[in-house]
Amino acid sequence: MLLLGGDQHLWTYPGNWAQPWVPKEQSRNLRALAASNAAVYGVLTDGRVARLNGSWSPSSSGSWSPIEGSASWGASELGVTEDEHLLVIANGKLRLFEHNALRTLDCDAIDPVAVAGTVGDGAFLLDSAGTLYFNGDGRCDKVPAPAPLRRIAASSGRLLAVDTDGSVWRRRENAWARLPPPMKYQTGQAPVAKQAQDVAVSPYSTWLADTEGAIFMLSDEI
Amino acid sequence: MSTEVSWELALIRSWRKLALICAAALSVASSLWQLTYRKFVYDFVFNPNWVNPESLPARRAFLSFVAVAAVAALLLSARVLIQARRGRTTWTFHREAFCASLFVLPVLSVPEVEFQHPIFTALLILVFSLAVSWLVTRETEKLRTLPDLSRRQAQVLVGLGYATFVGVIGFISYWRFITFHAEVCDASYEINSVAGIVRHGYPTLSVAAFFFDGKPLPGPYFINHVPLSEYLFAPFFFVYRHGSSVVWAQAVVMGAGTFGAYLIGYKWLESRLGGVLAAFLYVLTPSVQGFCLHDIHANIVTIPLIMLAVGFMEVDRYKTAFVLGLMTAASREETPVYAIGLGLYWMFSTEDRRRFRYGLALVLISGVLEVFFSAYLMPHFGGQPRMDHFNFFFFNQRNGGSLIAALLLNPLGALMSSSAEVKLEYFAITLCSVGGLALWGWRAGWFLVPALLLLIPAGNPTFFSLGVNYSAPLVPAALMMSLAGIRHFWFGAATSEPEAADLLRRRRIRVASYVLASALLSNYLYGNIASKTYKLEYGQSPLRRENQRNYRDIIGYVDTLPPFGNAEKLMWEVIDRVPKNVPVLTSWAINPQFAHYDVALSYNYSGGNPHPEERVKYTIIDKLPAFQVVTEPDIAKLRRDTKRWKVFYENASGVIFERIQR
Repeated sequence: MLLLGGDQHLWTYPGNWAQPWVPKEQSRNLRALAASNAAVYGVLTDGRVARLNGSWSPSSSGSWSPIEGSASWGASELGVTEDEHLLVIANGKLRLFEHNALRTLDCDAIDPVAVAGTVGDGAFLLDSAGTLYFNGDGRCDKVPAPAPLRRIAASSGRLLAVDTDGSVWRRRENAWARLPPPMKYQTGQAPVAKQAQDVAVSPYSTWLADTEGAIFMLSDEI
Repeated sequence: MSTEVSWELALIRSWRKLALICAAALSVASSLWQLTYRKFVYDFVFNPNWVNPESLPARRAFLSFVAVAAVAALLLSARVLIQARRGRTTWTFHREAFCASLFVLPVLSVPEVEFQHPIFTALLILVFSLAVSWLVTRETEKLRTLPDLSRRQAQVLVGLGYATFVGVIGFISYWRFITFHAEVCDASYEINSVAGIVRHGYPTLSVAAFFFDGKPLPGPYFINHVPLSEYLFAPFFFVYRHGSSVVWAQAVVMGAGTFGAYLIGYKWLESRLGGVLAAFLYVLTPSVQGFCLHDIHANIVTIPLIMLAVGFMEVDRYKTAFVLGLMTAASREETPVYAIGLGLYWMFSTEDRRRFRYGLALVLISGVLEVFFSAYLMPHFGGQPRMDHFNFFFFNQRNGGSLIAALLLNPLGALMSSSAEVKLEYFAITLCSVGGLALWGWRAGWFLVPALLLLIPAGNPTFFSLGVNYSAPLVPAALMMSLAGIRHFWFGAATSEPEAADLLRRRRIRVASYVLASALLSNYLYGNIASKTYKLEYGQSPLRRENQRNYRDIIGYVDTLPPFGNAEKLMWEVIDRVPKNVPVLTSWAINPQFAHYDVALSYNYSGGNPHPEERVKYTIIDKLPAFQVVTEPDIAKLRRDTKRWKVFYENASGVIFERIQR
């Protein structure tokens, strides 16, 4: 798991023995981050999009290779599909990076603010009103959602979303289910339900960040 | 003619009662306020220098509670003053004192108080228990006699205590096992060992393959430990060849100390009532309960063995007691030291020559066993006793001689070492569970010998964490000294002269109610039988399935038992699909569930040569959400390695890879 911290630096989890998070050594500050099993891309503070080379294990420092010409893209958000296609929200529109160029996709009429890649050019999109769309199969479809959404993350067969109220939802086989809120345990207090702020997925786990910046892992994925 | 006394005299006579009425009213008001505004109690008590702005409305509301209490106190005080004016000179105080102590209970129910502030908590337990004791003693004054229990009644009560311990603690430890909260260290190790005893006749080990470079697996466990007490668990495993049978077996064996405690109490307190009291105290001891939840360990079995040995010796079953003493000595490589404490106690606690001889024999045999285990048996198999937990030595060498020299020649250093904060906290938690009476139980102080030898030099905080097996040496000492302390107050100094039955009855009710109150409160806070929390995870991170509440990053405890949900059910489906007793390599979280296989290695842990992946036929990796020990990269790696591995079975909780035969 990689985390883009509030300090714009990359963190990795888990670290070495008894170190839950360790800062990943790298020379660049980042604005945005997206990763699949084998590929990590980031938007550097100068606006360029770059790929992380080398392992992202705690012991590997790695390095960023900027994509030529990406400074002019106006990249704000990234997504990576399972088959490692890079999706970019460039100047407010969804694009696929292919053959060293950005390609227009079916959802060109949408002004997305968030993207979550699936497979091929498949991607879920959110517009600024929190409406969900799916780009893929040569179409751009509006996807019914239980509430306006704020953040999304996707993997094969599942979509995770945080709505504007901080509730967490999972969509699987076209059905939405509200997931339990992250519970925070503090000394002297009964457990308190927290609002989610962001969501991410790894192959078998779901990760949440709450509004106070704490990270949670969903305890039962099934 | 008026009999009224002056106001001054009335006040002089009644001020104690009036003060206690006010204290009781304030305490009741405080209790109700704490229960209403639980959210603010912790900071109110433990961060008194900070007034949380959010708590201001609650603080103002407190004044309303106090106002109501003040009115009640005024009315009650007026009644007392009128009584005093009419000439009354004495009143009882016990009810007011009890009410005045009530305000400690809501504080103790606040999450984490007991582990964040153990010494403060111990004081509150003792104060409340004293108030309970006073109340019960005074309220039962009309009882003319305190009849002893019949033999049948005592048997039923002790049996109930034992059944409660085995039923509740066995179930929680079983639940811990089936919900994948057991750990490689040391559930896998010891289940490996017990299975080895049944299959090969001696304890074996495979999960720690790094001990056996180039050698066949499983190897003899004696390279790491000498867990002979696990022969007691073997019959359970023989009947049902599954790791869970060992988990239950441990609870069954640990609970057996209840019977030893009964025998000790029966003889020392000269009544069956005293025996039942001692048995209940054993059942309620948080440490004993916790040991059963810290996976499986051979050394903790010495606790019931010592209780039984002392108990049988007290009822003059010398040979049985001596055999139990030998079993204590032979439990594990360090337990001869525990048995030396037992032998010394038999030698010097009475003037019974026969008991002295058995004690002497036990000390000598234990000494020989200790040398045999540490200087012959373990080295013969390539190992040696571990000294890396100790940090108090006389020379640079970390060995037994250097350690004993430090204890003997540097007593002030030993004292300094003993006063580390974590040690004081552990002593407070341990002692308060029987009301601190161990401090009056020096008659049984011989049991402190192993505790001092093993705990003073230990620098690792896990030695001083409730339920962690390293702390086992102190528990027999705490139990025996507590029972001796109860005896001290049970009879008191006046036993040499005829003491009225009434006085004796009162003394016994006072002591019994005091220790039971402290034991019940300690069990609520630190135990696991109908307790505030469940202490499920032990050892330092990263080995955690939960991340709720933590004591010093050593004990992970939870408010409710974890669910046995779909993820766990599907994981068991995966486990059940694996062919029986083939060599397997598993992820960390599910290794204990395979540890009854002859060869069950743990991914990224077992190591050794040949590499674990070369030694097995199947690799089973879980997909359970786990803190800090992640498995996703392992699954990805094996999926990519299509020349060596193919998926044999997979569901949403785990995957079985079968090794492709070349």
